[in-house]
Amino acid sequence: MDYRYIKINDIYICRSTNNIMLLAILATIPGVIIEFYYFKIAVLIQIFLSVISSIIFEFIFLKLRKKNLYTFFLDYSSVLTGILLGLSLPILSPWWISIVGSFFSIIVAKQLYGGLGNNIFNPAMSGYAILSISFPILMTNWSFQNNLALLNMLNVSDMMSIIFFTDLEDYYKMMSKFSEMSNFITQSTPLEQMRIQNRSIVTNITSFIFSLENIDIYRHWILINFSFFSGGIFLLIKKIICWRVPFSFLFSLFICCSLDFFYFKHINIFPLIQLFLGSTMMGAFFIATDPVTTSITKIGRIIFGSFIGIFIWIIRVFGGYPDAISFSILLANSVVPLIDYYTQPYIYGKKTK
Amino acid sequence: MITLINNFKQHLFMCVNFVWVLIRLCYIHVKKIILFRKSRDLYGGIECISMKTSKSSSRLEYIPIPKKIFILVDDIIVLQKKIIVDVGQSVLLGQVLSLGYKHIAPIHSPVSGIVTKISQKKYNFFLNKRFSIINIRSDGKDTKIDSILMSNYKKFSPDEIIQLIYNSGVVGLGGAGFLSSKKLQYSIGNAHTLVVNAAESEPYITSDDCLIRNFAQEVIQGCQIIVWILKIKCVLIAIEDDKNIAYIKIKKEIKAFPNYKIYKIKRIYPSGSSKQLIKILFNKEVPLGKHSTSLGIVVFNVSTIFSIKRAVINGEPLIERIVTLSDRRLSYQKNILVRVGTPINYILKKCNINYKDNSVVIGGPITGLIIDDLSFPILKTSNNILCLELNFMDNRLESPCIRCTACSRTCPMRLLPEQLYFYSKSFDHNKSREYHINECIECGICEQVCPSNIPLLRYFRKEKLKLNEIIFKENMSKKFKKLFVSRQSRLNSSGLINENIIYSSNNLDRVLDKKVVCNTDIEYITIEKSQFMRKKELEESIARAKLKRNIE
Repeated sequence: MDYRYIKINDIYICRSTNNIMLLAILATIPGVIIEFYYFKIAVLIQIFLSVISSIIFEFIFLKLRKKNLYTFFLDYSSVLTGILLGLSLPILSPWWISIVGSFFSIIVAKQLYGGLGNNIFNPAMSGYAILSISFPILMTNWSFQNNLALLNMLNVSDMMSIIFFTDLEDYYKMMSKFSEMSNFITQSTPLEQMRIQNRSIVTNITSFIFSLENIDIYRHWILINFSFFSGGIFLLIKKIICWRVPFSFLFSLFICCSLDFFYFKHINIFPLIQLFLGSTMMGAFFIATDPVTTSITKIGRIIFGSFIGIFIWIIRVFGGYPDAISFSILLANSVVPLIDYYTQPYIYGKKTK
Repeated sequence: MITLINNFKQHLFMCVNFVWVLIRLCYIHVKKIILFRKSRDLYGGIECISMKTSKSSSRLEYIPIPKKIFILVDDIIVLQKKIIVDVGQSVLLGQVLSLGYKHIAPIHSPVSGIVTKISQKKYNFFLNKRFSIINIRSDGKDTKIDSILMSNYKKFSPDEIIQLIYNSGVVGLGGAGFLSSKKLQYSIGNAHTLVVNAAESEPYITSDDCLIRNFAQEVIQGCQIIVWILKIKCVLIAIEDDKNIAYIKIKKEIKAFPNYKIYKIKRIYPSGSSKQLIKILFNKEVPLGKHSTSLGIVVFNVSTIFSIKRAVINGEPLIERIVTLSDRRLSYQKNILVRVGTPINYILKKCNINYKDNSVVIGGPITGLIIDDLSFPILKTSNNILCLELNFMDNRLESPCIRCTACSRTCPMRLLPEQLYFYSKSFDHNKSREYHINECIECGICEQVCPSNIPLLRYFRKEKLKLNEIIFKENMSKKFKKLFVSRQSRLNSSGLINENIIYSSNNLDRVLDKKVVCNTDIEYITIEKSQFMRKKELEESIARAKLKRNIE
């Protein structure tokens, strides 16, 4: 049947795919600015490297697949993937890390499955997970991000030399040097650090929150997370992401943490603050809500989000990796087809049967 | 350290305050959404810009009768030999051209004149099916044929009135084209409420609004006919909230009747569909696979009721209808009374519209068809003609689906279009049937909201056609298997099975060999062969039947 469809913008104005992606990129800007304020030019370098390399990989692979470049290349999805990957990497990691990561995220996780819309796993997070499995020492080195005093000592040229012009052995040596210089225990996010340091039994909550000695370690983390949260609220107002995923995510994480805080006593951070540590907000509003890899039904989205929250708590408390978000999101992505199948909505007229 | 802690305490207080305000804001927003949902009672739907001017619907314009008229006749009617008129015969206005068959209503001549030609044509854009077209040249006199009219309809029995409605060719003018006489017949004794559907939720269309403004009294008379036929207790008239003048006019008319009510409904796109209208008015859902009469509700379009009134009281068959004519930018929009069968280029020419730079859409902008052949006539169900610029869909390239759920959020039937798209693209028929593709009402919302510009309706229609084919084939194979089994059992019981096979084949070959030698023309041979085979088969079957009779 020859049937051509009519779509006039006079009747109903709908967003196009690249418009959605552009708005999502816009929403990351406050987070990027705050990170730039604390971590200096290194963040921008990482983002720039991963974005450029992911665009190049996408271009090469689309040429190889003989796709129409106009429709497939201009949807900005590779740019968004690059930004998210660059934000989640440690800031002073060597230059080839981001290129390897974007290679995995664009080609292995996305294009080999059939391009945008067909990938099962979130591209940015699968790239991050592969990096953290294959280069564990480099990827778990968060000492610079926690030690702002040390970062302030470094120039732009120092950062450039660390990122671009060091061999791997020199890099390891430098790491150990810096860690000797600093007063803090390295190789961990604040979450990890809390877990190791404080296992004391809590009696008074309000006094406990401020009783931690190294409170300024995670103060900037809270601000960064808050900026991502505001970006997420912007996306929610623009109706680009569904509120069900991030809120069920945060709610289930909050409940798990508060259960832990009041009953099991594994981690001694106040649960509300725990939502603002690490890259929780970025995961909740930017990575878990990636429309391709989430469930499409309403109940399914709530199940999906709460699944991620519970897994984050489990990995944070019992697992070996400090950043639990990538693994829990990948785990939840693999369950999505099952969730979709079992949470189909009732169609019109079926309930009254 | 202490100062730092104090500082942080202050900050925390600020933070808590801010979070509390945010939570309150969110609460208000969510409450608003829930309240809004409750008030409109319809799942999904889009609030599109209406593109209607009230000036257009106040005045009804007339155009002179065209000289040539084309009338589309379905192919089934030609096969069943239901066309009464011949080429060269003179017809009068209102004379029956073809009789009805099954779900197709009888067709009447819209003008008086001479039947010049009965040709066959296939339109690519319309159903992709063969139609035979009756060409009539009008003489411009409009001499009417004598017709039966029941101006005092209360003297007649309901069956007689329904027969009259059938004979005057009234179909549902809302878009489906279902026979209204059949609808009336089904709902005798079942229905207790009549819903008059005056909500044209699709943009650009104002024909029903125009009809109510000009003929409000006749619409109410038509309602009374249906009330009398079906013994209905209460009548609901649903009208959109932006048609104020029509609302006031109907309210004036129904003052005398206590059981008539008029409702204003919100202007959301698929609220004109009967199932969605029932959901809005009664907060009930029509059960799957059943009609609205199972709830005791009959839904009729306004223009259908108007034409029923015309048929019963004035004795006029359905030969005219109101059509809206508009531009994309609304530089003009008017309602015209047109005879059924008027070619579209004639209408455009008479209204001084340059149609050569435009592409013409018949029907609404969401569900309508783009027309290639401008000699396509106005049908009974077509209510709108839209002129659009030619290059309006140049930069709309199809990009991959990113599962953003814009379509499933707005689907009024609560289907999952992205899953259906995936299955219909990969030809997974069982899965698409499992996800209820047959319940799709083809409203076209999913296309309009799709950010990737995927023509979803095209995929769904293709898939539906294929599913129908599969079901048809299954049914046919079952039927023929049954026939074959019964024949086999018959042959076994008569004991003829062996003789038939041996003798028939030998005889045929022997005779055919001689024929082949004689004739060199191949086509002739095949014709000869087939005729000979048929003759042979006939003889054999007659012999078999005789034998069977003897045995019994």
